[in-house]
Amino acid sequence: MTTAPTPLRIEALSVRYPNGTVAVNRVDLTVVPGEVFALVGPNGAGKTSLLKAASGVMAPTGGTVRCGERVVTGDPRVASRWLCLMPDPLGVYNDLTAAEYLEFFARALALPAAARGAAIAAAVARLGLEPWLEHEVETLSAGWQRRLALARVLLADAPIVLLDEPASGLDVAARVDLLALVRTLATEGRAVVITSHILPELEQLGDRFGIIERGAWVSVGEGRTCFTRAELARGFGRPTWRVTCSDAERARQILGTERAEPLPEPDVLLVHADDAESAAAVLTALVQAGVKIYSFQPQKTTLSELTLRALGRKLAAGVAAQGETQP
Amino acid sequence: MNPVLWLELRVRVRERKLWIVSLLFLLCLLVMACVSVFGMGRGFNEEAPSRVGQPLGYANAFCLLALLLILGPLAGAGRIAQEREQRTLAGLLNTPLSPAGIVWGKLAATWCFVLWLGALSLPFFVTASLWGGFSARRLLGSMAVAVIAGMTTATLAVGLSGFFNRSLTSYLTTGAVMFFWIAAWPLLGTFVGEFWSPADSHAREVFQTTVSYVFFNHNPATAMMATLGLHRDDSMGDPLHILCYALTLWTALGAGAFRLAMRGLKRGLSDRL
Repeated sequence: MTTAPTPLRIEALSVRYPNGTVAVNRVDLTVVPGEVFALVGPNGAGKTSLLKAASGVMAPTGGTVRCGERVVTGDPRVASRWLCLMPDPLGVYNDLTAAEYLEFFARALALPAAARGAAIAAAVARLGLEPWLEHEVETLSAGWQRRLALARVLLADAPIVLLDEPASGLDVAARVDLLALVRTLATEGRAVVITSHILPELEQLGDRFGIIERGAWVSVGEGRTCFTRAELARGFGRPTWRVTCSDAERARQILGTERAEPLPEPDVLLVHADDAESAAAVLTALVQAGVKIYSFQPQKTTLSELTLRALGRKLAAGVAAQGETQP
Repeated sequence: MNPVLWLELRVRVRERKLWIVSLLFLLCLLVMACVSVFGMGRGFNEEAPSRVGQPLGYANAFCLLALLLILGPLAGAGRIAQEREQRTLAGLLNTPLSPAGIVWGKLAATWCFVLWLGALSLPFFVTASLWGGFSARRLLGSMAVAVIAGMTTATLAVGLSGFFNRSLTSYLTTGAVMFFWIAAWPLLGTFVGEFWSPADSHAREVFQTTVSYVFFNHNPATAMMATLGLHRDDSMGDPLHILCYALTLWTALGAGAFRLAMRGLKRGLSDRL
């Protein structure tokens, strides 16, 4: 990366559309160099509007965006010196080959003529785009179009990268590659903000997370809105243990419905206990009542569960499964 | 080279429709030339070639003007709206390119197309000139008026396209504006001139001159007539004045359209959910 690592600071950013819809409502966010911030939320929550307003391509109705110390609010030209947006949906020019697409953006990004070829070649090699260079962009699959857009991000070589649904339409292998690439971008000192509906992968990738709905951060518990991966694993609220036993229904009767929560899987319970001592007492009570315990372990909260819980939605198996597999 | 101009030229040159339009353009000019030379039963007269050179020159000039007034706006309309429509505007704005740079690239590409068509018409004008129809000054003058009028209308079209999210809306609005300017407004001027005229001769003269400048003299057809010495009567004004007035107004219109396109771009994607 040629530009010095730069943090992204968003303060009280608001976007209101002409039809009155408040897409982003006084959002604060700071992303430091080397960090991947994962932005989570349902469709229409304001993720895309937030990223577009942060990059300046959409004029915010309030708030400030800073790249380092420089205020770049609503000025995409100035913002582009530090910040590169990969938008969603990804527009493509008709009748343009992949090579021409990259050449065009290399020119638009004001890369010096002498450095243009090498920069394009490096981006192409990194993303495995060689076989597709002479194909027209509109004929490429969604996955290859995403990679091409990522190549544009690499060409921009910006210290702040905003990726809006970069994994959308990618197959499993491509998603794995994408995750590795995004992680590398952060390792190189970039501040990365990423949105995705593929929460398990986002969970692996993100250093910090935030859930947004109706344009505002959603509290995940303990008065927190943004949280780290470690905090996510620890969970918010009362500690929970996952119990696999011979008779979940009986165990629930013994412990009480407030303390034990059934899961869709047979013979599995979630048991709330404030600390390890309480958990041991629960375990003893169940064993003494003749319930066979096959496993008893602290329940790790997944991003999908936390998101659904924070959004106040029922954690149904179907919904969770959809979150795990949605392309 | 402006990256947007580079992109537009790269893409447009490869489009089949450019070559089809160019071919049809030449065909139109050829048909008009044939009609002007042979259509009136005069045929080509070796003894007096200027008899056909002059009508050929006029036919060329007005045909070129008409074609450029249609094709110029068609080339310009939707240029920026298309960026919104195909969702490429966000990526384009997120570059060091300024809105002025983007609009300039779009505009220059459209102007290149108009100039290309103007260049294609050159053999017809040269032929008319060789046959004694036009002096070199008139030849260049009429071509310049046609090309500048085409570039102005193309600029208006690009400007209007910055205002719309759909290229179809942009095309329709451009068509409506062109129709109003080129046809409806002079027609209104004709009605005004016919039905409301002061009794006093001096007042009538002033009135007619005013009507000419308000309704007719900025019209590309009037500018062409002034260039070719065909303007209707003295009340319309001096040909040089008409040309200067038209060119000034076109420049102002073009500048306004440029600003409109920039405003459209700066508006960014704010109304796109």
